[in-house]
Amino acid sequence: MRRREYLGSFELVVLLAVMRLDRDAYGVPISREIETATGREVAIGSVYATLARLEAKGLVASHVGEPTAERGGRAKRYFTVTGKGQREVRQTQQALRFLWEGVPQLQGGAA
Amino acid sequence: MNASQRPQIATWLLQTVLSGRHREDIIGDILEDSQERSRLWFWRQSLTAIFVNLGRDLREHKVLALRSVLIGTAVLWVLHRMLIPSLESLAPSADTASRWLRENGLQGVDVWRARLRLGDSVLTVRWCLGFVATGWFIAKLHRPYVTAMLTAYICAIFAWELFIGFSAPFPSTLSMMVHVFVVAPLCVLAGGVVAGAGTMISSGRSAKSVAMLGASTPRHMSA
Repeated sequence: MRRREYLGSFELVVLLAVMRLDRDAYGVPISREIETATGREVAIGSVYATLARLEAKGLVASHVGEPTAERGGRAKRYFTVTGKGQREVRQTQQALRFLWEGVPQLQGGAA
Repeated sequence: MNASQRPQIATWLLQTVLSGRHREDIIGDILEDSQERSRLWFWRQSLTAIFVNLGRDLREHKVLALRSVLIGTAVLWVLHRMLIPSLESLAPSADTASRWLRENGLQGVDVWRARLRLGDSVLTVRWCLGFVATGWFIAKLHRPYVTAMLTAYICAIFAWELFIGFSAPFPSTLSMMVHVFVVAPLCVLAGGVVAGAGTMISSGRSAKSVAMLGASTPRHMSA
């Protein structure tokens, strides 16, 4: 039986950002989405390192879009979450929800 | 921040050092996002992208890194075998010239010669040429992962010198440290840059278009 690889926390964040952005998921909006959610500056290089890892695992797929002048004539690369990626996110969500509910210190919103 | 306000050195580093499948995507995203950001942000993003990329290349290509260290060591050994005799032959020529000048009444030459410490200068030149050439060879032979392979070789130089207790034949500890930790890495990187510049020129890109970046066509669009 093949051993299941669990998602890292940043991998999960990136996958969720890609899912939220849907058709507009390329480097800049993905970074902005994560920045908005976490309140921290995100390195575009780190986002791409994670996306490359997710792509190698078959959890995201990408295609090249249109080149623009503001990118120095470079094309945007759009990412989408694959069916396998969506299943992985759902399994992680279920595991986290189960663990979350079993922690009395975190019930009721008080830290 | 518009194209003319971008930090030129960071832009050049990004264009020269970054490699890998998502190279053009990362550069394009940093350029696009930089329009609403500061110069400091651009520097942070560029350096992070370079280091993340470097770490990944070294992790994924350990055998290539080992090969670059072995090739670098072999090239340096061969060059020193060739360079030592030819460069050391310059010292006797300088001695002869100095004697001739002294005999013809130019006594001050000896003072200047002592100040310049000819022997040390020859050693430094030999040291620099050897490492520039080694960097050039490694860069030419490891085209897609130049930065990672040069970094692996520089780390090997540090490790070797620390392991055997500084073998470099320099007169003082300070001089030795400067040569090992500053001059050698800079020379290796310079060799890499020279090899890269040759590639850019041969593929029809001018140095200015590389520096300007924003107005240039991507060097190699990733699949």
